[in-house]
Amino acid sequence: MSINWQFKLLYKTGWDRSPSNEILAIGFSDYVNPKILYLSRRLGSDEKIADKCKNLLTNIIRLLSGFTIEPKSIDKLKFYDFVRLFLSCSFSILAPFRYNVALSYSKYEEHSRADVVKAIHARLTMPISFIDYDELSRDGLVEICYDDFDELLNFSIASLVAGLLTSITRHGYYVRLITMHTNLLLQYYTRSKHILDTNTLLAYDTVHWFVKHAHRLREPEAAEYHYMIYDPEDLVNIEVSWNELLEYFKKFTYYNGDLGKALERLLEEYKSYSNKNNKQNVYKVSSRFFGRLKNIYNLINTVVKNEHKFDHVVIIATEQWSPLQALIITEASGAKEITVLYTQNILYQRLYEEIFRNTIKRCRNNWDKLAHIYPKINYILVSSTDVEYTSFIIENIVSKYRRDDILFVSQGPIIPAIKLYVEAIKYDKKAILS
Amino acid sequence: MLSGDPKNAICRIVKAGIFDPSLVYTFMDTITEYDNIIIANDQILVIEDISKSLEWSKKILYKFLAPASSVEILWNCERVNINESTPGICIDRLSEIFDLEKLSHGVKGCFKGSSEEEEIKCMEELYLYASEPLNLLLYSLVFMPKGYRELIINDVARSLGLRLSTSRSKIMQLFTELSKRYCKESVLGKYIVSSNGFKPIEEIYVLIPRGVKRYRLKAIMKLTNTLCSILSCNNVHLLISKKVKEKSPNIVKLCMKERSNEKTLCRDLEEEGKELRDYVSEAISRCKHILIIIMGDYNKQALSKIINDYRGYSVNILIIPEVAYMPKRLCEKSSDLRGKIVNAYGMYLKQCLSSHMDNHDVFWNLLLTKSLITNLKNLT
Repeated sequence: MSINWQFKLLYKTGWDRSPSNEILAIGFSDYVNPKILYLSRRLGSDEKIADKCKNLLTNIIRLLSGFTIEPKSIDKLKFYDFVRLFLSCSFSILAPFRYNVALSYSKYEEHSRADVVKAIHARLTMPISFIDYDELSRDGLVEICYDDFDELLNFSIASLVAGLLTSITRHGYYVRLITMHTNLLLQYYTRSKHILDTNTLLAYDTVHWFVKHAHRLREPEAAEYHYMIYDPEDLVNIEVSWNELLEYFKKFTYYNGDLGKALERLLEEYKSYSNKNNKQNVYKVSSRFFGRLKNIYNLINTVVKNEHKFDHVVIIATEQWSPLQALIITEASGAKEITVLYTQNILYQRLYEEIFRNTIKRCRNNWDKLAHIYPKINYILVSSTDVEYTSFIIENIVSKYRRDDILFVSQGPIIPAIKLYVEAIKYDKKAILS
Repeated sequence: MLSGDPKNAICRIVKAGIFDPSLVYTFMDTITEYDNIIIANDQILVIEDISKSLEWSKKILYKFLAPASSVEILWNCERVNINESTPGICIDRLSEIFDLEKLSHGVKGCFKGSSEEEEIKCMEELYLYASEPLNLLLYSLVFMPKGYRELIINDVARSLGLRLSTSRSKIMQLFTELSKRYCKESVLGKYIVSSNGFKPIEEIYVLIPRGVKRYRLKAIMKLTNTLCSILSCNNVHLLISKKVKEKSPNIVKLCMKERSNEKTLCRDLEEEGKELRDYVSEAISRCKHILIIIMGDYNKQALSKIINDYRGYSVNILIIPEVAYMPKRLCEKSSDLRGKIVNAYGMYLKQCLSSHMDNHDVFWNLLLTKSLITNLKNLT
């Protein structure tokens, strides 16, 4: 088995960098089998790596488990507790991620010690793969050395891990997309080289692994993609290199001002290139990842154009609801508060955004600008099919805000979207249906 | 052991069918159906009534389904002892710890606080009128840690404009409120909307959604025919846009082949060089009362143009979802309350509505619990 390592999180031990310095690594051997999540024995060991990166591990478990696990005191866990925890996340069909857990071979000098026997029992009774150090020593596409991470980088890496390990489902695709969106936002505000790499990797893996894997699906497994505006299968014959994607994401750091504007300008720039230097392909890829956000930014700008900005936006969340979308809406509308109507299939996105918001609040001093401009967000649960329930809620919301300087953005699930739009224009409020 | 004052803090949910919220588009069946969920001080206990010897396999299924779930399951082994197949906790062995009679049958229901039969009826009403919030609450009870569950409870409460007291279980208050709103009368007793209110409809335009192939097209045709019959309208146009053809290149041919009669016209918008608004405009100029039917989803910018351009005109828009959770008893005419009480019905609700094709009032009312109808005449 030859593993293509995509991501390695390394632990710095002085100036030495041996293969055993990985904390975790993600790779794959082909487009058919699940990915491989390598876990280091340093987790839960006496060296207490978990102690040092507990926030990072907490976020990874949260996101990987689809918010079915909220880890507490993660630094107290032993190595095989971590193995079981990560295995548990990979089994859950509720949060359908797909990967095998892999460990490195190790020698025990004293086989009769109780902790060694316990570890061997766990190894023999769990469906884990083993890889040798030679395999592990290959370089990864992105390697980040653990060195006093800040919270935003923690969140970015956790998002990368969750994104890379999503299963080949519609839900999995959108989890990738929102983690990519969030990492773009973080890259823009932190100008971090590490986050630039994580973002490039998510995009690269989506084009080179997810799409090829998804393309192998037969009906009816692939049927859910047919309804998507941007069907990921459309990307299957598009070739883009790592450097081309890296260059694209790097360009975001040259812009100041609105991130929505930067998205628009870059998409326009790449659209205008001829295909001789392959930039058209970068455009095709990036327009699928960010095109929807650019459209929302432009649509809101069109409404705002000849008017003063809004205080408040009411929006229906789609599967692309992410911190980046929230920020772009604020940039375009001027609104400091967003009320988000979401349906049950947006639960992951809703919780993800909340975790992000809490993270930037906690590190307010360091990232004051982002925390300052990020909007206040309220969530309201609507239904995509229960007409009486949804009508009651939407009629109340529109009536409640009818005297306010408010913009209604109707998108996503069609029953709430049409209902919200119709109610808004009934009161002559500014509304977008898209 | 369950703690707290049982009078205030324990309640029971029966026949809880739970759907995975993140796999709405892929997997339409319930992922679990628990016979009894006992909520005590916001902690959860599931009691399963074993009716068949094969139910031991559920135990393994539950473990795989939610390895992270902390929910404890007790097995009511009156008929079959689960221990004979797999290690499990049979409640008759625990009778000294729990007042089992009270726990599984004597505890008040979480919704109406009444008998099992009344609770089941209320659950059915909730699956009809508020199925998605109910499902998300049940899902959060069983599969999510407390912190995330509280976020969901607060979202639902905010949606309904409720202020929940912190001195009592929030989820129990929410269940009580939901039952007050939606369990007022029997489902059939609520059929008050007559299809006559929507007559005369002279032309129907059905917007074929992206991704449709033969299976769904047939469902669309069948449902359209029934609606034509209910609304006494025989002038039907199935509109196929360029984007729909991109995904399903042979859709126009299929449409011609599958249509039930020659009065149903398959319109290739690209070939005719027209848009939806052109047809609406022509119909309006002929003073026709029209109905636009959206099956599943459609381009919202095109709909936005229609809504804005034809405000005040006799244009009705009916939106039918592809899948909805419905009480099984209503869709399958079954009076059996022992099995599961909810299912997801697809094919634009045809799977549920097909048993009511001959009763137009029931059909129409059932359709409108899950479908939105908007009359642009009221938007002046």
